[in-house]
Amino acid sequence: MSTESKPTPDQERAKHAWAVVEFVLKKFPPTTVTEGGKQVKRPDPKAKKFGGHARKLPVRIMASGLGQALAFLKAKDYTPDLLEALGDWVLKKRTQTALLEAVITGNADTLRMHTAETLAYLQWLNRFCEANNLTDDTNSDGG
Amino acid sequence: MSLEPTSAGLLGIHALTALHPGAGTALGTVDLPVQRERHTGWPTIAGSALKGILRDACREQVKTTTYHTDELHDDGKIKRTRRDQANADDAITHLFGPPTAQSSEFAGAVSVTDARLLAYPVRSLKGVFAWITCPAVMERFARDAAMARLPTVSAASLKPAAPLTAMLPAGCPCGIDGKHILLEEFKLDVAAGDPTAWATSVAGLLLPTTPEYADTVKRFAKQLVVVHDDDFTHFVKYATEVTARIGLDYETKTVKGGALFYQEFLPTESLFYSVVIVNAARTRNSPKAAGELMQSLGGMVTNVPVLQIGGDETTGKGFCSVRLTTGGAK
Repeated sequence: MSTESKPTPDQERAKHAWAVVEFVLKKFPPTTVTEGGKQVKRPDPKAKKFGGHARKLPVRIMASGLGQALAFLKAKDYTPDLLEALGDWVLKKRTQTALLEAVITGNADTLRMHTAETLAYLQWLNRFCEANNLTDDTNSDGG
Repeated sequence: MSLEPTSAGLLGIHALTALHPGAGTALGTVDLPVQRERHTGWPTIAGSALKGILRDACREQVKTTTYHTDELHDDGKIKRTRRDQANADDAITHLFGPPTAQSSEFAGAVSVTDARLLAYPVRSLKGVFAWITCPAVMERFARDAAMARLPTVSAASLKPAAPLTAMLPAGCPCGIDGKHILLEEFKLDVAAGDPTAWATSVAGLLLPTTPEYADTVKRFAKQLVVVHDDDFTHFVKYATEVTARIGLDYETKTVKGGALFYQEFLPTESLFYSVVIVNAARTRNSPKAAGELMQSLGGMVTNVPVLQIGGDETTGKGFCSVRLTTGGAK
């Protein structure tokens, strides 16, 4: 039996969220442009979309429930990577509909658990997205 | 050794408008959350806030009745404002302690506990809303009422056995065909058990006795629903009012960049209580007895039936009915 202490659930969330953001930055890398004689890194629009929707998701969940918030993202197809990341973290199933299906087929207890876990996870995801400037410039609620 | 007699009571706090007892900024979903107890996650209002509000309400009364002019130096500059003078009056200091500069002289006689949530309003499909409470809250209330030396109706038979079950008062308008109640998006089964007597006694202790409150007191006894501890905890965590607040650019009338934040409020109708204990005055000379001080406090609280508690006063938040009910003497 190992005597080493284990990471806390919150540390595990942070680790996973960090890896997800790295993945997104690799899939949609930033471009380097010259502005006023300096090299400036501009995030890719698709990466910014990922971060923008991740940012809006917690309040959408609190306002309309986890199911509606996920269904909305799936319907609009704004950023499939976000849905996959959530499925992977909460259920270890990296598909776009894993978490949504769990909400649809589950009971009140699983709904509460998944909601609490998704909200806790999104805190880390949003912090790392913000750190990498993956934010949506508009304040509107659309894509 | 004889113990100095103390006086005790319950301070009922009923939110007339949305309430924001803030906990500062947070890094979570909501930028400005409300204060919560650590071990339960239930909303609370710090006793330090309540004491300050009570001191202020009492001091303003003393100022208005007794101190009509500022105290001036010889050169005409202000030495002590009317409020400063009232702040140093015995009527205030014996209860709440001396002004800050002299705070080492003696402590005030009043102890105000953190306000505890007793009943929380939740949207109901029928009946508009129900006040919910749970066994854990009711058990603590029984202990606290005993501390305040006030009698309570037993809640021993009001313990829903499982989550998603509820006990409704007889004739509760929130019941659907007598078998279910729909709170927010949750369907609860009605279980045997009638909280009418408990609700009536609580309303009688904490809600005001003014004519305009008579209907609310009746409604409370009919719409107080006992749910399982876990369901109560869920609602007070996830069924708060979360408001998006923005700042507009004056010229373009669109939201200024970054000027969006989320603030959490507890809804109108939330019912809290605090235990108030009054000791004999702790001054060195001619200390007043506890009973006399409690009467003085009670009289002043009666003169201010509505107090503003928490943030955003100028946007109408935090106006609460308060009522102080004194318990039996020790």
